[in-house]
Amino acid sequence: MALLEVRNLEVSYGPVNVLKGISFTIEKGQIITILGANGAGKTTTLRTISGLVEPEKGNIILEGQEIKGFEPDRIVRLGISHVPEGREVFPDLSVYKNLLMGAFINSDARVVAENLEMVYHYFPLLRDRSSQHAYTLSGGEQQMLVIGRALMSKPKLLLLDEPSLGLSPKLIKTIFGIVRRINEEESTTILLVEQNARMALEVAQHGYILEVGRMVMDDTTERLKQNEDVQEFYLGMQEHGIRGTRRWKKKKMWR
Amino acid sequence: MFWQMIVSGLAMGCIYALIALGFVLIYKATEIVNFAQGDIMMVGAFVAYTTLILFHVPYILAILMTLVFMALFGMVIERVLLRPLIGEPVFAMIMVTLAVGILLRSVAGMIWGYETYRFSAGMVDQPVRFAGVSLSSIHLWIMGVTVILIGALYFFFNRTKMGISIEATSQNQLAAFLMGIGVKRVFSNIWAIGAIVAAIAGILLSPIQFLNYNMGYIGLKAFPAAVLGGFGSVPGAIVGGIIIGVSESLAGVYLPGGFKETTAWIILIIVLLIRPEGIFGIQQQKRV
Repeated sequence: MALLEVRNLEVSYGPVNVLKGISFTIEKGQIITILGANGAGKTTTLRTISGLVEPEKGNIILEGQEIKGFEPDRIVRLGISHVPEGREVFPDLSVYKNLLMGAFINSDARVVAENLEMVYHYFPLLRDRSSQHAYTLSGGEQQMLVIGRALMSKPKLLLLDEPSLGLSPKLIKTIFGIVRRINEEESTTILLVEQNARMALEVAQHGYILEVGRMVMDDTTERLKQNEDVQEFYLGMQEHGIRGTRRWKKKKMWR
Repeated sequence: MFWQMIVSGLAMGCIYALIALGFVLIYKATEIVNFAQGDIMMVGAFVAYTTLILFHVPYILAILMTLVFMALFGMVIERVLLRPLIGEPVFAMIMVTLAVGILLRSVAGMIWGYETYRFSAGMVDQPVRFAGVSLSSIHLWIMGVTVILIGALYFFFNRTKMGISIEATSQNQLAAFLMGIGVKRVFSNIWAIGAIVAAIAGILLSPIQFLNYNMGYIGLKAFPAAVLGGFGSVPGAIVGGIIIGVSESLAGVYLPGGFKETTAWIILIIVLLIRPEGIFGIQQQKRV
């Protein structure tokens, strides 16, 4: 049984139809990635799964259980942890208290302490900064903090929204390295949403490509990397020729 | 004389501080300015009066009953009147709190009448001599209880999980949702806490000001105290309350008549001219 199954999900913000019926599945232990340009609906997909946005139609099934329309706190309890885009820390709380809030749903002090050790193991830097206010951290440190905070609930499924946003290439590499280790060592399933397609295709095993509310491609990342369209539009590789016309034609063919 | 005025100013300042604290706590968590805070305080004082004097409940039990009742009272106001408005403009909710204030005043008048009651709330007024100055024991009581209450609140918001989660929600609501913090429950809790703090302020105020359905107007002086300290800052509310209490008390003695009532607003205008964000205020640093 798939860990998460999304079927024909439709979401609108008022009259604007953002997701026009997308479907995908995530198997246990996988890293899957959803690629897409600005406004494709990637963030909306994650927000709908974590209960922040209510879908109009479709199903979200976690381990056989329909979770569509659940309150966000209930979804966290069921084991889905969402790292939002843009490093949403609690700015005036210390790093330690930020992490503690990540384990809000867990009232067993021993388990919380264990999870805290696990987070410090992956992000040793957070231990050094544990008494600092979160707003004093650099962008990369804040990104580590929000990922660490999401791990504090020991989720089955981790939703990562653009963890590379605004970070240096070196930091991006570090963070993706840690994400991969978390996946392997904690067997946490990860759904990664990215604009940095190169990095995402590197860590994930399976990829979906979302274009203005529709899934247009779905394959293993190995095969996606070989695909001509993906190479041109997401990885920025160019062939000779009149690019403008080629782009238009290829894009038409996708839909 | 000077020191006596300082002490009675401090005592009054403590009460302003507690009401201002109620404003700030609710504002920080929910972004609503609760203009009914003063009237909730009045209700708290009357409930204490009813249990203690009319029903002769033993002292400690009566105070506990009052606080529990007021906590539920705050939760009911939030649940029934404000929660349905979530998502509407904040302005609408603030208007609702104004309406709640007026409503409470008139209902209190219907229940307890419009006369003024003498209510010592179990505090004995006797002169205490300290370092050659004669002080009122009630003033010392007020200061002592305020210090303990502030200490308890500090502990709650910094050391307990529920307190930290309220603090976290006020800093980043989206992240709080994603941590599994029940944001609705946080709102409900903060209204309960706001009402408890108001009730304590009311109980402390009764012996020095009499009990009256109109006593909630004191909220009008606590409001500048909250703004003065930097709306949204807890230490600011306390310091603001004390500044206003003390200066008002001194103005009553050393300045011509009429200044006592206006000092709060004069200080507010001066502070806002020099430091528009308030004494402890920080410039809003919302990221986009």
